[in-house]
Amino acid sequence: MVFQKKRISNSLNFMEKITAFILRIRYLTIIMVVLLTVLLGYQIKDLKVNADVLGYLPDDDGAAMLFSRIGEDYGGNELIIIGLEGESVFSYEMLDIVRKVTDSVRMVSGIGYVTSLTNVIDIRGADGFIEIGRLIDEYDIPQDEEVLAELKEYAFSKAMYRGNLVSEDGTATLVVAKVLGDANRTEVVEQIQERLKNLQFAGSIYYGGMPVTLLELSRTIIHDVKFIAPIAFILISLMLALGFRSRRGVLLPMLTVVIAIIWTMGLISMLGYALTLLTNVIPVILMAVGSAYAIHVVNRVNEKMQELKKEALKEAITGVMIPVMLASLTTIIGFLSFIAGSYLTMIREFGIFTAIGIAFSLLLTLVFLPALMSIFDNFKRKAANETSSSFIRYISRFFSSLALGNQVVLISIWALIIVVSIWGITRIERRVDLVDYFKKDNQVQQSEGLLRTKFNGSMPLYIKIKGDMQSPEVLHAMKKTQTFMAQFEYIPYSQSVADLIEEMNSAIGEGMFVPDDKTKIIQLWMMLDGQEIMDQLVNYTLDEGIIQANISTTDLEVLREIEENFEVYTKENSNEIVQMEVTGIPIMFKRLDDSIIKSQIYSLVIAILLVVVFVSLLQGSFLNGLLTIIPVGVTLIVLFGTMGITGIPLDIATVLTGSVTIGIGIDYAIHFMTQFVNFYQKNFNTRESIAGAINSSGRAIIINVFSVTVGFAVLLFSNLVPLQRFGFLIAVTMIVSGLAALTLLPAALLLTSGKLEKSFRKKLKV
Amino acid sequence: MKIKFLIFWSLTAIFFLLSNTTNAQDATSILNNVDKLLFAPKDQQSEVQLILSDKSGNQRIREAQLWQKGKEKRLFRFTSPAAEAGIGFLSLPDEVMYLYMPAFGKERRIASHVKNQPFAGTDFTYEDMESVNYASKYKAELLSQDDKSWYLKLTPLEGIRSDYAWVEVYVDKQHNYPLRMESYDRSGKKVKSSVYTFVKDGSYWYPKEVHMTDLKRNHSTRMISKTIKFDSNLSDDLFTVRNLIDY
Repeated sequence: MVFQKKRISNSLNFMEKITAFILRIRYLTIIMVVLLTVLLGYQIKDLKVNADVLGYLPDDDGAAMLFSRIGEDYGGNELIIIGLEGESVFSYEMLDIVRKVTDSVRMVSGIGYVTSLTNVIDIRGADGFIEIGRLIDEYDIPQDEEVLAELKEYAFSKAMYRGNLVSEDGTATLVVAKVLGDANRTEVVEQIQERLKNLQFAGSIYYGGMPVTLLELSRTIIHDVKFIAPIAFILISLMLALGFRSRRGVLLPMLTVVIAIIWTMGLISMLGYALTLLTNVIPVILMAVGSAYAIHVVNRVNEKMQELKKEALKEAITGVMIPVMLASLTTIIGFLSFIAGSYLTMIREFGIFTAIGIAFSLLLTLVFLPALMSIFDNFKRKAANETSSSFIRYISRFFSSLALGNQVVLISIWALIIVVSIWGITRIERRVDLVDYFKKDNQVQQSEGLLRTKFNGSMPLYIKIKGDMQSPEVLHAMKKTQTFMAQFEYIPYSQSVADLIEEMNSAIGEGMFVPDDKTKIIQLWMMLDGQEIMDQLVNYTLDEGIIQANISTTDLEVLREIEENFEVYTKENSNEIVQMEVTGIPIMFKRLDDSIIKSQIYSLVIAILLVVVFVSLLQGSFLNGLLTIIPVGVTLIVLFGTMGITGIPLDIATVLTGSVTIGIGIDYAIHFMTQFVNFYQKNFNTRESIAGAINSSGRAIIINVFSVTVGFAVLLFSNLVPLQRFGFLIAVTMIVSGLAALTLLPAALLLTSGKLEKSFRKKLKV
Repeated sequence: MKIKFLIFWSLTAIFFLLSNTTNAQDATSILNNVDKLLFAPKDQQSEVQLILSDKSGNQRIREAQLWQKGKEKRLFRFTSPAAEAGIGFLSLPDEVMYLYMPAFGKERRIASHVKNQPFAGTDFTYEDMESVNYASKYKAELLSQDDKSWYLKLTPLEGIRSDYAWVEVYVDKQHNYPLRMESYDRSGKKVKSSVYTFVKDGSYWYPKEVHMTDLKRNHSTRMISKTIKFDSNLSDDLFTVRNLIDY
């Protein structure tokens, strides 16, 4: 017993020494922080945004590999679609615009093939003539009304043009550009838009396709964040001011958060990484989690305010150092676990940089904050009850009585919430449509609307066919596959080399079918050989080809159905002569979405387990470890349950709120538990210790809940649906994890108080 | 003083005008000389090999026989690979062109406005394969010269349909044959380049090999004359549809 006490006092002594050291190097610390902030802040100017989620599929993903190979071998994979809408497509003016747009787009680096009315292949034959040329001679666009009318009639007679390049009503036409496999898709879109900026065109111009959607998504996010982040910042500050009623209570947490964000973003830029759709969220997480550390320090300093400045600082920091370190280390473990469980490099980056950002917050809170306070803060001696607002004191008292009140009722309420949430989880939707992320008047909505209603959609789907491209069996198999594809409402059109061979066969006067004689096929082929379209449909050695189609939806449910059907079909129809494989944006997007959600949920579970082990080891009690994760576990259940009940689908954006939950939920529990244990070790009275913990750490938790919830509620005014949802879900996370830490955790402590006492007495050998 | 000044400037102007016309005349006559060299034989028959290569070095080899009489009659018939043997193209005056496919036993006329399309998978378009006087198609301008060659810029004459905005050509000074040619599209981008290897057989210079590269497609074609025979008085009957389908 004597030995144990000595150990405890030793470790306290050690902490005191560290605190003294921190205070001793305060000037150096401040200079270093300023220097680092300037250095890393300067790096942010080079920070790039890469919204291209599809670029992050791992190199060994079958569909992604095939997709990128198609991008290299067949002159592009993803589609950037430029829609031109006017009075009539078949007029000289409009066709001339089509030609100009085609020419400009063709010049953009990163673009493979461009297909439009003015360069698309046309095969026709009649009266002993055969013609393999262009639908419209780009050097001699017809001006004569009659010729134009004939052209229109002809174009409408062919599936290759109608609905594909010209809308059914003849008012809109498309220029379809394929993006090369190794190009930066969003940069290519920017270049195209730049080139077409000065186009003199009386009609409307639309941009569609996944690269455009992703670019628009990142543009809107950046625009939104620029507008919303300052408001959130101000609101959080305001809430802190209300909570602490002191300049210190506002400035210090906000300053550490801002510096930590600057360092993290600067580091991302300095190491040559780009902001992704995931790392975008890091500032949000740091605001929520990082501010909490500082809030706890300030809160503890406030508690010691009645003492002398130097002593107050030393004591407060020594006391809060261990829980803050524990809280941040567990959060860091949580985020680092994303590395192990991740399928995507994007998630790995997100895990690493968030962990680093939290480490920065920790460092700043423990080293920079004390330095700052010891130099600049003029400590007015205040009475303890003046250090936080009466409102917060009122609430903490309320929680105290709530937690110590009727445990049965309290736990029943939580049980009910959990049951309802679990019911909610079973109803969770996966119906995600990227386009629905935008508001109705956004150009993405309008473009995609045009592409879906008047054309065949914008999401490319490819079936790779391996086999002798000139053999009748393989070409027949292609036609059969295309017939299979045509069953699906959302795949209105597909194209393969078999179509062209049919057309040639018809042009020569044989009929619209693939001949059974290989020599015939080879001879028809020679006439097509060297045409741009051939390079897009078959490889040079003629042992592989693709069927290309468009899907006119990004609804993940439909995509899932299509993928499943195609997996079965391609397997069943592969044999020695022909082997098939399917890929495409819709397939990859679905996989990406699946894999992000899977790996996020997987990581959340790993994180929780790791935290249990970590806390158990540190506090020397498995029971403590289990108790600490209660708030996180419950918050996660309520979070996903809320999504099910409110109809917010689980997708790339919303699943990320789980990460914030881990960061916040664990911290609250750790702060509460540490304070509780502090009191408990002295008095072995569960109720008193709970009241003490709520009165001290509870205040910090309440202030943190209020400030972050209000700060993120601003996101409800965002232009993007995912950001609105994100803001709402963060608010839910904050409130639920705060409530869980202040009510459910105490209830659990009271329920297990017998075991608790035994374990503590054993540990302390009392 | 004033008069002297006027005379000086007038002379200068005349000098420049003259030098310009001389320049133009020179360029045109260089082009005429090229035409003269290319169309010197009355007729010719040859066996050609077409070696097509893509960007990764994959090759396709085709062989054909070629008969040509004057500038406007030409028969091109594939002999290898076996499945393509017998496919023939017959070009006649007034842009009349026939195609024959033996597997179908059918001949078809090819519409005249498809001349910018690739010929049989090669990097030559039908336009490139035509035997046309350069001088009747292009306006020539001498860009520069060195000891061995002239460097001309050829711009299509008004009313001439061409896929190329202009063509730049190096002409051998001693023998008047083209050394290399580079074609540009409307946006000023070099789209094709061809390198010629001329040799002399008897009294005629002819291109033993033309190496054409499509820079956009990253694909190239070597057209090699394996054998060649000049002035053997080819009969007009060779250049008929009946002969085309008689395979």
